[in-house]
Amino acid sequence: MFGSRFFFLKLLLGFGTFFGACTACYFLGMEINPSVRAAEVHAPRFDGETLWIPMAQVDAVSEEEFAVRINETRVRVRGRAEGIAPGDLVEITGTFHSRPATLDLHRVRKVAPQRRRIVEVVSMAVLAAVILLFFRRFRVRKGAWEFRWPTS
Amino acid sequence: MADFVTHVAVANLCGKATGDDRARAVLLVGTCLPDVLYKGLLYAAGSATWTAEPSHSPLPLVALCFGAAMLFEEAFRPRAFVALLSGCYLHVLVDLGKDYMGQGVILWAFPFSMHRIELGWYRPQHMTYMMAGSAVVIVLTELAFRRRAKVL
Repeated sequence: MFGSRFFFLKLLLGFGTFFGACTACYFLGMEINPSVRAAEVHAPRFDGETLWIPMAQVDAVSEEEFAVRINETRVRVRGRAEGIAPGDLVEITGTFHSRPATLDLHRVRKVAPQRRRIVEVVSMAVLAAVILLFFRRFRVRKGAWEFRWPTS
Repeated sequence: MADFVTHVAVANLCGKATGDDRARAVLLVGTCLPDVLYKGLLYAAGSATWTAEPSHSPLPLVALCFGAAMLFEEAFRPRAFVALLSGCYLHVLVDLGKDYMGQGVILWAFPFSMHRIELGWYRPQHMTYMMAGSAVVIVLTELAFRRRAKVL
């Protein structure tokens, strides 16, 4: 199974199947947490569906509703926003209604952007360390990753 | 996506337990692979979020790891495959615990089902605490295994 016979065919089979699955998911998986933009473009399909917005900036807050901005898209959210002020970053779920884009609020919670940035920076450093460790153990030779240690 | 420190802490503990330094290096690469692919497809290839979801699905990951294992020297390929796949599955297990506000993104049976799951044990806000705890786990793992190596 892992022999070098039909090497390129096996390589193509492995990577091709994975990227084929991604392509299939492109056609089958639009319901998997679409963005508000995608929901607006395909409005009839997503009217009445629950949307999850992982990060949005609060634009305005009133007694019964508030508005959020996701990139260039502004969305009205019907529901009480307790403890939330304009400028806050929030994560929301709600029922989507198109024209204009509106959400009936299910849940909302604040997101701390500085914490997210810390996680991202430290994660990048850890990824670099993992790659470094890999190259301490392996090197490219004769077209394949070979053991660096013990070196021959 | 959980932070890489948590993913690496879990994979490092399992990798150390195998007692094979080379397999551990590959296991650590495997545990970073799902997020590297996800972000790569998202930002480098400009794909929609749902196109990248197979990077966190158990079955497409088998194909991907098979392809990636073929890049190693022939004798090491079976071990590389097991290490890569174990790393990927550990990553998916850690991500499974995350709270996506009930909109879970792990397609556990793709391509046979589009059913998504999440356990909702921790929120993105908890990541900085998890990261600190995971860093402690990495240090303790290193110390424990060095001490064990001295005793043996």
